Amino acid sequence: MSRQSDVLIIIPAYNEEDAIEQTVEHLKRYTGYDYLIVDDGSTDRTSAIIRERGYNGVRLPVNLGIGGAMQTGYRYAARHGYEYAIQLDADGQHDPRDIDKLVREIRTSDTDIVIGSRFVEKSSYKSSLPRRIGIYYFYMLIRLLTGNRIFDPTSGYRIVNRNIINEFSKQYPVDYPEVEILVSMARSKYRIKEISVEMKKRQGGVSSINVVRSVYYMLKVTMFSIIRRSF
Amino acid sequence: MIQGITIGITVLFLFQILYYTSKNKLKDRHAFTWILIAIAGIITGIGIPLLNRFALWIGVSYMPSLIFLIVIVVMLSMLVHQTIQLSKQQDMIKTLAQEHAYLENEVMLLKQQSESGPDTFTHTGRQEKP
Repeated sequence: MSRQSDVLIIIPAYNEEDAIEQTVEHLKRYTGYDYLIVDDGSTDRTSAIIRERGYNGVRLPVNLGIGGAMQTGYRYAARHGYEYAIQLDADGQHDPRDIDKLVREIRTSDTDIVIGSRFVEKSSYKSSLPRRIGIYYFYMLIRLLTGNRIFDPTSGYRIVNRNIINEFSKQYPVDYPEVEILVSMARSKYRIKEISVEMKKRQGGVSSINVVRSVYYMLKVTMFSIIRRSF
Repeated sequence: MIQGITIGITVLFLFQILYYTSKNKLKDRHAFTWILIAIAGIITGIGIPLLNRFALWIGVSYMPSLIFLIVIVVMLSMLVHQTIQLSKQQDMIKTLAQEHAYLENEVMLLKQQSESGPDTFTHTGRQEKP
């Protein structure tokens, strides 16, 4: 089997039977890039849908969490020699029509990681107040620790180049990786850029974030970001 | 009396470790550490009078407090060591799961190719035949 492009779209999926088909069909309609669905040990019909529809996917025998699933994608990208890798959520929040924009940006600008952001320009995205407070908190945390101004630090919609693919295939945080990665990337002097994209509400499945997890998320990310910044 | 009890308990502990090792419930590398700890316990039991004097010399008036302190430090170090081992094993399990996923993907692709001919399944999924 040969590569069709130098870009790999990584779609981590855990129990996304309601949205996965629509997400992949949209992706195929709007882009011609290679993709890989990483079924993170789903217990619903996600795996069956991937098989029946003939999608390109790997199935993890156990649930490794978002970090483990994404790293599976990055290792796959490194093995198959992809130049760029993009994370695309399986729940349909990320609009595949923005992929070309991200690819163009990373190809033409002198950056290692380009983040699809909801907040650099005005977009139609509406989020709840607690979520916005959380995002602002992480914005301030990254600014304090690295000096970088990243307006949408929790956005998973990001493209990285081969250097970062190789780094991520060796080491990637297990859970809530987005902010920690930005801190350690900034510390390693990688160049980070944000461009505006559209994001939708999730098209299916249930968000894993609740009050207790939010508190854990903030504490864990803060603690490890400081550790990664300092050591 | 106290000396006898201490030695007795640590000897029993040592036999317990040796038993688990002989039954392969404890791997040699880990057993080695526990055997060293048990031997250190026996030596401590034998050297209680000496330890008493040492405690007084460093300003600890109640010698068992010194033993508790040493034991707590050793136990904490062991716990950290065990957690490091656990983290390493988690990494290994993750790598195994990922390798399993890649191999399953390869097997599926080879199956598809042998059934429908080459190039019908790519990194963009199954291609319909014209």
